[in-house]
Amino acid sequence: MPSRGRTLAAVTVAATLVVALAACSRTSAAPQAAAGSASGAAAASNVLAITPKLVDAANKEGSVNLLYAAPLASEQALIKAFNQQYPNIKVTLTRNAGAPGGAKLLQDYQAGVQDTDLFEGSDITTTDALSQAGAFVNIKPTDAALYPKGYVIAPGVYAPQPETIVVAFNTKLVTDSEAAALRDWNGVLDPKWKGKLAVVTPTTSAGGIPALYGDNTVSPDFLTKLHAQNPKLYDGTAGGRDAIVSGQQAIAFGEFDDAMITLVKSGAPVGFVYPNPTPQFPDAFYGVLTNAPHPNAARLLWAFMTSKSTCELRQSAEINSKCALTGVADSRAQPTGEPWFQPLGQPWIPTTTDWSTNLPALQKKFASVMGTP
Amino acid sequence: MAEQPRGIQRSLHSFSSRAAGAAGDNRRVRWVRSRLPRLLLLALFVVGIVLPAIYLIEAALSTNLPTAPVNAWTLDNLRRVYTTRQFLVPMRTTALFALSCAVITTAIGFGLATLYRRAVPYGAGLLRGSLMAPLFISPLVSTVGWVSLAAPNAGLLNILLAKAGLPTVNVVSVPGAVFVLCVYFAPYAFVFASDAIDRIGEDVYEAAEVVGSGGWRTSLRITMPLLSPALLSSFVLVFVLSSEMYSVPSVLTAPSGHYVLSNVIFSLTTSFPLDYNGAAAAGTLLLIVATLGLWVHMRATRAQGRFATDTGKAVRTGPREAGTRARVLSTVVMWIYVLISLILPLLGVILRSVVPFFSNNLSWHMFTAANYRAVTHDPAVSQALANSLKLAGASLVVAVIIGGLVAYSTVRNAGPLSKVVLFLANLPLGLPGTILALGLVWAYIGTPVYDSIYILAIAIFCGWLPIVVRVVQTAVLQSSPELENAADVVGSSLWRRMRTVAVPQLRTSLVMGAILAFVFAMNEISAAAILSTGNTATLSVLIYQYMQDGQYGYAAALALGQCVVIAVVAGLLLLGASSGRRRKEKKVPETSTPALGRTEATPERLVGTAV
Repeated sequence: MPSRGRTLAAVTVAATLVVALAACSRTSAAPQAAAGSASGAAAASNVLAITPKLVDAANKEGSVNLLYAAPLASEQALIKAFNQQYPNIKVTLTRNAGAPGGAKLLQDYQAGVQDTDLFEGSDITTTDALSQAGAFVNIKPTDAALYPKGYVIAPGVYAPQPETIVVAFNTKLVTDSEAAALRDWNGVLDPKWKGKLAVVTPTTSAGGIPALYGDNTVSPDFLTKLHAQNPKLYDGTAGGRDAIVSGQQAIAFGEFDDAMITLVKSGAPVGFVYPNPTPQFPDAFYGVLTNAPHPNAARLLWAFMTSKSTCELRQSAEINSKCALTGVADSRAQPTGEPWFQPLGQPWIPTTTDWSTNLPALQKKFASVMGTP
Repeated sequence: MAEQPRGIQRSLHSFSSRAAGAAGDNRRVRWVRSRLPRLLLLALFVVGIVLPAIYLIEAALSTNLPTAPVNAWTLDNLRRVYTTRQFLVPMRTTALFALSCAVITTAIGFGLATLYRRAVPYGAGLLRGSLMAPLFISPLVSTVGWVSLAAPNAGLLNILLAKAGLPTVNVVSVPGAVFVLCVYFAPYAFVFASDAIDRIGEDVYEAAEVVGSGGWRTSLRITMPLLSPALLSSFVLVFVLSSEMYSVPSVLTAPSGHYVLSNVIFSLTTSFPLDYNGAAAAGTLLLIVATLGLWVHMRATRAQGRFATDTGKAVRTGPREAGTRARVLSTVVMWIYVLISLILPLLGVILRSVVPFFSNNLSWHMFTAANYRAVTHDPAVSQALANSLKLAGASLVVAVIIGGLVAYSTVRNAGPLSKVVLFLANLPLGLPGTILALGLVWAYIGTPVYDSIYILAIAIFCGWLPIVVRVVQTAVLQSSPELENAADVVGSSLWRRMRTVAVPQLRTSLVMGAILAFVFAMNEISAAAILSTGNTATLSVLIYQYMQDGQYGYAAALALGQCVVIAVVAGLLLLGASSGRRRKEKKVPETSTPALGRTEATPERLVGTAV
């Protein structure tokens, strides 16, 4: 019994240690969060041009940490181009896409963690929350006037690249005339596609936005009808693409045109059509953190990423993404020779308010109708 | 923070003083020394496991994140998890899914082990490695391989079956997911079972034969009870690991609307609005499942003397002589299993790695090495490889030390302290990688550990710890302490007893534990995806990113490279262990065993070591 008593006492000491450790780590976080907010509030609003002074200061810092959301290959191609101009700055890439990436950054920012210099987000709502917390330096790119409405996400946060939604299909399983019918939003509801549809889940991927758009705009029972088609649900656009390329499914509802153009070029038996109207939304938006450990290198990379010339570079074969800036023609190598192809018409661009206000309710509805978590 | 170690010292001092007051200085020193390893383990587990677990429980009971400036207590998260359809339906699916996996996997593992040990197949060494090899391929990658083979309308195997006029299979289904997971977890069950079967001495069977016991009766009355700790360990481990598995269900069951709890947790942590509190609350269920499993296991194995088959007596423990027919049959059955569990999914992954895209219209001209070229030129790969090797190498060493220490000290020293240490070592079983990672973030945010490779190391060590402890614990349970007692009697020091008795007795289990830790560290993805940064990303994280981008060819090529690294390291370890064994067998021929040679530490030798 005495031995047991001592052991229990030792366990009690250990438990006390845990509580003390917990208290320690919490108290250390709070003041740093306050410091971050203060510097955010003090941020200046001005046009950021790439000057020799900025380049010198960035070179002295020598490195920059970018939290990014785009596909790795695209990001590496952009960084390669950056390093051709600025070879003395090492860019460290950390992938954390979508809402989790934004949420982690917000958590870090509030806890005073100084690690990320530049944020490239893909989720408007979390980016909005970061902006409201004062996380971004309020700067403007030299080509700010070329950014269309909806592509300035928040003060200091600019999106040079859109994502355009398409309906993709396997060309061995869908004829050209059937593909043409998919340009109508109700095309995927044709009974002949029952059990042959891949739908990207909007709760985890922006690729699923059309399902929400359809319910909100095309018909209030669009989702219910879509569910009746017994679709296979994928939590990312990659899964949907793979399903149609391999022939598991005939149609993938909610894919991105840049990925599909790349696939078509590679010879995969796939095609795509732009539904009418075509949802298009800002993707890859850049903001410099107010607590960036390498503020000058971060500004230099931000200026590079948001410039018109880099935007044009995004349309190269290596990256294949569209440039959103006004006046920049879509120079991507589109599959114009394919019988199913028709160029993009007038896109429908949701505003930040569309996302922040309406999306959570629509996502809830999607989960309820489709039975997803 | 600096005060805390002194606090522990003060407490230890206080306990020691009380002991000294009762029985003098010698007794105090003995008290501290006898408990020191467990107290050190306790301190480690408090920092690495208890602290994040407390934050998770706090998150489950709060309105906001533990790091948020404003927070309040609430039971709403738990109420939602335990009463709403959003969670109850996936809970039911998870329970059925995990139960199926646990039962089938344990049956497969024990069936294979029995065949392997009792009707030794031809080429047993190669077969043993091949039976273990499915563990080297992460479940996510293995799933990609199986999809390439057995997806409806598209899998290569299905195309061949259809051409032959045979019925096709559909791996993108709940039974498909159970199958893939059973194949993945079967090596764990095989390790538990083969090690346990190894330790049953032939004298036991000979005694049964003498009293006229038949094969079935012997199996039911002798083999099964002696194997019950290993059976239970295997069942509990597979049940808990299956219940928190995310990658396989997300690819194979979620498309058809069958979601498990880990799908819900993933969705809560990735979909806006993020609901970390709900995810933490959902995590409590898995924590309860793991705790219950552990409790059942502890209850079932508490009378540990019943399972000790590895005693001080020099007995033959190797396989009995099996007839040629039995050996041929065993060889055929086991190679068919290897074909299904290893070769087929590996072929699927290889196929993925040599085509630009996977389609049901493959042709020879599509085959290319472009994916391999792209991967070898990717600057992210070398850094990820270095990080993976650092973490896996550290796991290898730490697994032997910590895993061995936990298993040995808790089995050999009964009492509440041992129970607490054992419970904490098994606690991570109930914390899925995603949930554990969140707890670690909240525990270490703002400290130098955060965003470093050390936080990844903590998460990875927590992941393999229960597995390694179980492997070694089962072996310790079956090793009688009488050899160590004999050494103690003849005055052998603790260090010498460990070196010459305990470690040789447990060598096979320790090597196996080290291999499992290495493999786990190389393949871990769910915690690493949350905790890693650009500088600390591992190979698994990079493979996952390739897959997120739809670059399945790159992912497959890199995964194959990862498999090669794992196979080489595991092979070297096994070779090293078996060559060490052979050296010992040459030294002590009268006690050698064909399979493991584990009774090197005989009373005769112990006397020698003590002098």
